[in-house]
Amino acid sequence: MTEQEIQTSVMAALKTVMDPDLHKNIVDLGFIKNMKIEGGSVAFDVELTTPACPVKEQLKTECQDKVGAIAGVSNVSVNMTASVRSTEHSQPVLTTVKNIIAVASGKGGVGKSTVTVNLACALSLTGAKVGIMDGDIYGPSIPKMLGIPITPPKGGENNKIFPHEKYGMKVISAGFLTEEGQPLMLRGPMLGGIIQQFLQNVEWGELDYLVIDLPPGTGDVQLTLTQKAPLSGGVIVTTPQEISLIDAEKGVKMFQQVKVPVLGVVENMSWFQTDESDKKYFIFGQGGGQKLANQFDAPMLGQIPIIPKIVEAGDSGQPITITDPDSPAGLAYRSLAEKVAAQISINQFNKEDKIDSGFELAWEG
Amino acid sequence: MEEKNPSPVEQRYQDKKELRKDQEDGPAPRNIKQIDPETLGITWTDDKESVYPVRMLRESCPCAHCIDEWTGQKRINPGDIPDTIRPLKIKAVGLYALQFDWNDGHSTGLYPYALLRKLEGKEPL
Ligand SMILES: Nc1ncnc2c1ncn2[C@@H]1O[C@H](COP(=O)(O)OP(=O)(O)OP(=O)(O)O)[C@@H](O)[C@H]1O
Ligand SMILES: [Mg+2]
Repeated sequence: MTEQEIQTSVMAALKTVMDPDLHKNIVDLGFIKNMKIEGGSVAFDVELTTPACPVKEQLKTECQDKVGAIAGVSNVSVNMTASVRSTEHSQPVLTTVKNIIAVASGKGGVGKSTVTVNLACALSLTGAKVGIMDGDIYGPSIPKMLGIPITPPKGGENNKIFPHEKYGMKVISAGFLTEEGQPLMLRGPMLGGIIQQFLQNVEWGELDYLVIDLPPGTGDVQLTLTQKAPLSGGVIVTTPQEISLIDAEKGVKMFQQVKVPVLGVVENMSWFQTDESDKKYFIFGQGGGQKLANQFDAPMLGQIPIIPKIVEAGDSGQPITITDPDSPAGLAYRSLAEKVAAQISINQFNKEDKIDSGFELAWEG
Repeated sequence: MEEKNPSPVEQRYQDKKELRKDQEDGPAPRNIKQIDPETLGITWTDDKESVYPVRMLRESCPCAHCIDEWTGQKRINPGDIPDTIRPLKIKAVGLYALQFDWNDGHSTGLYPYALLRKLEGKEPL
């Protein structure tokens, strides 16, 4: 076979490799880059839409197997890469950030900040550029969870603020604007001012994902953030208890009200489990998160068990996803991150591809 | 070997079934625009570019008035639709079809995307 013929067969073979989330083959999706054929050696890149792709390894194997089976091909080298796409919007803020994820809960204390931190860490572990915005200006807890000392962020010209950096992520929090241990004695207008500054003045640089920890509840600050930040989507954190689910429902409705897509539901504290055993104890009941997801036709993004080490990790400023990524907790957060990233890609494809359902064309002449 | 021809009713049922299947994962328009007063252009999600004479589209109306529900026979004959036929408005219906308001007062036809793909390249009667 000539190299030209091999190339044709390779493309035909790759056309049978489907991205299971985007329901299209990887050739039509434009994922195949830098195809090089020399004799029987075939090399190419598969450029995914996120480094957190949940089926990266399967896609790689499938490409290798299918191309390797072509007559005349003696050697296949598949290089998996990723180029995160931006969620399109026309808002003039956070323009260097490709995708913004807001983490919300109706009720306080359900583990929202812990999810925010570990979701961000898990995205960052895949190689993505990640930032965290601690939007919980009433009770900022991100600095402690990441072990960042309370020091004022560096400022620059034109009121620019430079975020702190930890574990390869950029971090901004109202906590940095206070003396450690001092509660934030801020009134409404000042709080609004801080949010505005966070949206307009922070020098994030290029980010693939910015994760925002919203304050618990669905009040003014939450609404301001969800309206003014060009969100790619919202993640709802709930525990399996009825009381938490009722409040989580309000969180979903808040996103719907401002037309922010709900990326899905995370059920935290789903069961109790020790590192030593696989036995699960369903302390708060079972199936609550799934029920909420079903109710709003939203994806179920994951379940995080109650794990004592998560508390220690939060208290010591060393997130469990960083210190022990292969523990049950680490695996749960990493799987969550993959689901979130995949959902963002799915939404982008659905949107950028088709005309929307409200399309109208008035004929002229 | 004997090939049994499906009856028109059966054929029509099969066509409809195929259409429904295509609706679920077939290509959809990415962009729809007026090219000139007599021509509609659609760019599809698989990058295909199609152009349609609007008179052909009106003649191909799939609604129950224009096609016999039982025989699948077209009720529109050559010359029935004048050269002056134009859409007034084109709207998306759900995620699978376009609806045309025509200047002859007709507006009952839904054109599934899969049908529009089949009408590609077809000339007016
Ligand atoms: N899966 C888990 N297993 C064990 N402990 C957890 C888990 N998730 C969170 N926690 C612990 O629960 C407490 C509350 O978590 P966190 O601060 O993340 O909640 P929150 O929803 O952000 O609360 P707030 O409303 O105060 O902002 C923390 O001590 C945290 O370490
Ligand atoms: Mg919190």
